[in-house]
Amino acid sequence: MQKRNYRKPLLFCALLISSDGKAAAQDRETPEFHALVPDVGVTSPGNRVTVRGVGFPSDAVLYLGGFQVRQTTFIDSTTLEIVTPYLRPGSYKLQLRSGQTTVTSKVTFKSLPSETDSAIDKALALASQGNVSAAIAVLTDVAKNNVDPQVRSAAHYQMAQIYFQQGDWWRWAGESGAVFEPESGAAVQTSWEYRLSYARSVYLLPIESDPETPVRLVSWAVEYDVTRNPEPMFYRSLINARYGNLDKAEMDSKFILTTDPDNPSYRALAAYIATLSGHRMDLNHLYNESVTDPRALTLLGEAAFLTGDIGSAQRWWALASKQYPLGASLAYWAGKKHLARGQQRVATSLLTECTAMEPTSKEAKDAQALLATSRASHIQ
Amino acid sequence: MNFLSPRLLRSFFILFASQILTPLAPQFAHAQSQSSPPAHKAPPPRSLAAATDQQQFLSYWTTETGWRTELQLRNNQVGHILTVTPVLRTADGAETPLFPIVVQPQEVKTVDVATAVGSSAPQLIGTYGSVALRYSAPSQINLYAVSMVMGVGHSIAFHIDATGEDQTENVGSREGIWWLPNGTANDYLVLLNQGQNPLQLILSLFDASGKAYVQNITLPPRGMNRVSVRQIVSAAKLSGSYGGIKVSAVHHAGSLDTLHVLFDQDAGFFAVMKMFFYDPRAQLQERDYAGTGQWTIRAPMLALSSPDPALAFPVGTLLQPELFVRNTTSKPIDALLSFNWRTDTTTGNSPGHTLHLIPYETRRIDVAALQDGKTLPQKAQWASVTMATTALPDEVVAVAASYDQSLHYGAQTPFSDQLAVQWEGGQWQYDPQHDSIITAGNGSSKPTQVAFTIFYNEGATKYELDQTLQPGEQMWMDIGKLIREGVPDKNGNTLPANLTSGSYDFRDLSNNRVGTLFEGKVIYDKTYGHVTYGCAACCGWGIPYLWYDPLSVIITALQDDGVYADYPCESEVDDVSNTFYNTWVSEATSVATVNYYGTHTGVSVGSTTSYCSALLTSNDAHERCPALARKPTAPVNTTPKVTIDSLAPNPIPQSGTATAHVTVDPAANIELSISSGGTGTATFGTGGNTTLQITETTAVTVTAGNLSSNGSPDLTLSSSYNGAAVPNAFSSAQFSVTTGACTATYASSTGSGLYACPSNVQISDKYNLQQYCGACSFSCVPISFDSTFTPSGCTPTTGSIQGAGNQVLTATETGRFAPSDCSLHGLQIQTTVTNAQGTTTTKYVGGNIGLQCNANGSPVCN
Repeated sequence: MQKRNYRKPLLFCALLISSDGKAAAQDRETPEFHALVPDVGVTSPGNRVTVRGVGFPSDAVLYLGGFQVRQTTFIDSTTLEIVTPYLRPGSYKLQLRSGQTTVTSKVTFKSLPSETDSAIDKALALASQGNVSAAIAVLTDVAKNNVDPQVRSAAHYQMAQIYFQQGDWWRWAGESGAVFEPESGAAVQTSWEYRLSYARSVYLLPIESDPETPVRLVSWAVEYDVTRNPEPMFYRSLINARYGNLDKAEMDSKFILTTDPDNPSYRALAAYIATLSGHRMDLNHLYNESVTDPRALTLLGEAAFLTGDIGSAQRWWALASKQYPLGASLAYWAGKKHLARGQQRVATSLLTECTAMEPTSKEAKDAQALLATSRASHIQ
Repeated sequence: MNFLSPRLLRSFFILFASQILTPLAPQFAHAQSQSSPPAHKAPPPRSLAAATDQQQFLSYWTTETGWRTELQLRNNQVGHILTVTPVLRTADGAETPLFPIVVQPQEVKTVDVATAVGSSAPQLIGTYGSVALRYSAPSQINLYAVSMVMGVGHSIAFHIDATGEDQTENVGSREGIWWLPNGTANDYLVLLNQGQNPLQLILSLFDASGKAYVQNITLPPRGMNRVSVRQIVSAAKLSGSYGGIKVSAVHHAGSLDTLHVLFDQDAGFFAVMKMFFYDPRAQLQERDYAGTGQWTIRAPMLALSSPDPALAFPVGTLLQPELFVRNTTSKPIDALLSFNWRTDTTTGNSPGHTLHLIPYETRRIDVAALQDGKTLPQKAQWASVTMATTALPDEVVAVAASYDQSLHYGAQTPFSDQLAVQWEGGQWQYDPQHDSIITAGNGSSKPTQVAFTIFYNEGATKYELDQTLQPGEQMWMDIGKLIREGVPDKNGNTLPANLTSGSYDFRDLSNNRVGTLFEGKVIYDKTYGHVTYGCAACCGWGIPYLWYDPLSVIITALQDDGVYADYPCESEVDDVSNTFYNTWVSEATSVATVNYYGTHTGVSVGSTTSYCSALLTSNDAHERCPALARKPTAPVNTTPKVTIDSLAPNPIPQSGTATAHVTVDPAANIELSISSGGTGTATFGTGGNTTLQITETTAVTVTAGNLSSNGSPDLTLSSSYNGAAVPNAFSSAQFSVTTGACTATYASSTGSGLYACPSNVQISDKYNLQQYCGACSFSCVPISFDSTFTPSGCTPTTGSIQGAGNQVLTATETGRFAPSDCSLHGLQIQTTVTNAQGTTTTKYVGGNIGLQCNANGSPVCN
């Protein structure tokens, strides 16, 4: 398919400003938050809250914890009224977006559990105890019957996470997609966690006819996230790297390293991108470090494999397998996807990773068969 | 239709025609020599000429005591009925319309004039006049009409063909021959004014030596004058029993028609003395159909001394065949007579017989005297008479007659120069009292293949015979014999034993643009023992025109061109390109060249003219088919090659922009334009213009309006050079404007069913997608499945017309179905769409797919 250009959402150009900082991007007065009244309420069906402050623009839209509120009403430049989105119990910072400007605040709202949250908590407890079917049954009931669509979306998301932990990828993908009911409104559209789960599932599983879709979806996860969490950017960088968009991958990688320079996954990603770009220096730095993060280990293994250092690759993958055996399956699906895209080099590293991590699994056998077929066609 | 259509037949013998016409090619050096015929891509032709009011005229009808008139109307069209309104005119020009007659395709309808006027216009009983036939059709030739004027109770029957008026023809004359076969025979010379203007005529009668008597006559509009040549000859004291007739019009010669008939009721004698229209502007080329360099006329069915038994004359009847040949000019003329004869078993031809005619002389040739065994065999029954001259058309005219001494038994055959591709014949008859003999001959110098078709059952059923004719040879059809003896046609069909009438046509299968066929027909009426001859109408083409006018050809590229012409006889437009092969000329080969077949090659950017030329049989108002020199011409514009390499995104989001990359080779002033056929709007850049001039390869910005298209690619980015569209592929691009909503509507699911277990299965959901945008994202996953199904991949695809906002979204899931039971296992596909604004929805869950094992795998399920 022909590569398309597309209009990027305005959020992509948003300028992040801290409300208690003085970095003014515009001439107009920078919004400041003073208080939320009340600043506590149950999670569902939403609380009407008055926001006090100064400099509120008339087009302001507020977020809590990255979830767009159900409703923002502009009273005047010092007062806004909002209806809180569904949030799992906890404290959440307030964000404001106006035009291309995003403002974060230290003002928080505390979300208290409702009866629905008790059911969700129960399901999560069951899942952690290994009773997955019971957990899914509880969450399915919530997802089907709760009157609050945002709660239903949250239940789907929780089911997706349980399936992911089980390695049940297709159901993970199904529930990740099911999060996005139109009735749930903008809140679910702006959650980077929801979006990233869906984007990752699309990256791994469906054999897309449009190769840009995974990149586009993970980009939207980045662009809709007003919290600027580095995780969506990590995956955007990784996917771009594997699709050969190395400049874009490197840009994201550098950015997330500035926010968390010691994160082993981010460092491993930087090394992986460098390797794909033909540089090995970053990888050399990591040879003698003790890395335990399975995501980092798999990336290091892939980077070593790409340099021809099969021995190091096997060692890192073996360590990763001990930490997270399901990583072999993820590598298999990703490898299969890239093989279908004709990205032979990346696909070979991923499929080899699968065979190295779980050599007796069915997926490893499939991976070996794919590798053999790939080699044969490559020779021809 | 279960046979090859006439159109195909005409096109089938392309090369024969081109070979014949090659000597007619102009004296130009043609661009390229012949290779092999290309696979031309012809554009749709123009619509056939629309039906318009048409009019033909029959010069004579009568309901006088002792006379009966029958009109025969044949519809020459294929697939179109014809409604004809006969309008009777009296001698003073007054008109009385009769009831309209509906004639089916290829059908012949007859109208008894006395019956038709009996109730509605009794005042017309006992009078005479002419007939105007009015109808609506694309061409005058779509109707072939005859007036049969018969003596009641006598063996008299005149076959009078309809003809048209040519209002553009101002000069000319009608030329004929008068003959007084005995002392009592009467005659009518009918002078007819077809038009709406008074007609000033000069009637000249000549004796055999060319001595003239002149009389002025004025005809009122639509009026006629019926005079007696016998009386004028007597009054003018012209000597002899034969001589010449000339009727000249001072003006409006195209409105003049004449008829000259002889009859002797006591002797049972009648004859039609055919008259010829002399056009002083006529060129030999357009009437020299066989390309011999001479003007040739033929009388195909001269009954010789020993009549054919098929004519059913009494045993012992001895005919006296004779020819009258007249020089219509003031200069001496030489002519060469020759004969192709036939007995009941053999055929042959005679040596030539040269005539030297002094000015205005009329010469009688006693053909019976030539049946001396030297020129013609004594037992020969028929002869086809050919007269060739270096004079111009109609400067020599001839009439043939063949009667016994009593004048009671005999037959005629008219002379004509016409050779045609196709002849549409009138009515034939066969019953206990009638028989019809029809002939067609090859008037060219090469063998030709002829198709003879009899139509009956109101034109719906055909009887077909094919025959190859050598030069001069005739095929001879005794309709009665074909019916009586059940002779099968080429398809094994026979004519019904109870068949009594129908129509016919001849087609030249070997020459499809300037034909080689001449034809003749006689109908024998046993009631009175008389034989009448019939004529058929020839068919020709309208004015040819080039496929493209102007022709645009891309620089360095090839562009076919060709020629179309209306073929009104069958209400079709024919591709006559092959007639013009090897005649193509480009006036500026530095701009474009053209090859043998009309394929142009753009050489440099610029304009020129190209044309081709050939003779093509046409139709004129007098129902003749002259072969006219045709030269269809059209401008040729060699344009730069303009390619819109890309236009993305497409569709364009509302108020968004797209970039179009346009290659111009070589650099030139090109106008780009955006046109809308729907609700979508777009402009170039930000200025709001829908046109843009570019001078070289460049990228342009297209800005979408704020209204979306309705799903179709209703916007077109096109390029033009010098006001004409650039003709190369991809010189335009279709696109649309979209909201980017990517709204999906479930349409259908596939994949449910029984499978041999375990089995790889593929299931899919289809959605109709509206307001599609390339920025939308799609994914799909299986849901609601159990452990018997192992998914292996789900693929969402979109497809439809490039640039359309309405697309079809197909979500296809593959996986392995491996149950250990025979239960029905359900499965669905959940399709997720993220619109152009990044909003994701999952409200798309397709149908319930049911998978179950069949009896062919394991487990075995029934």
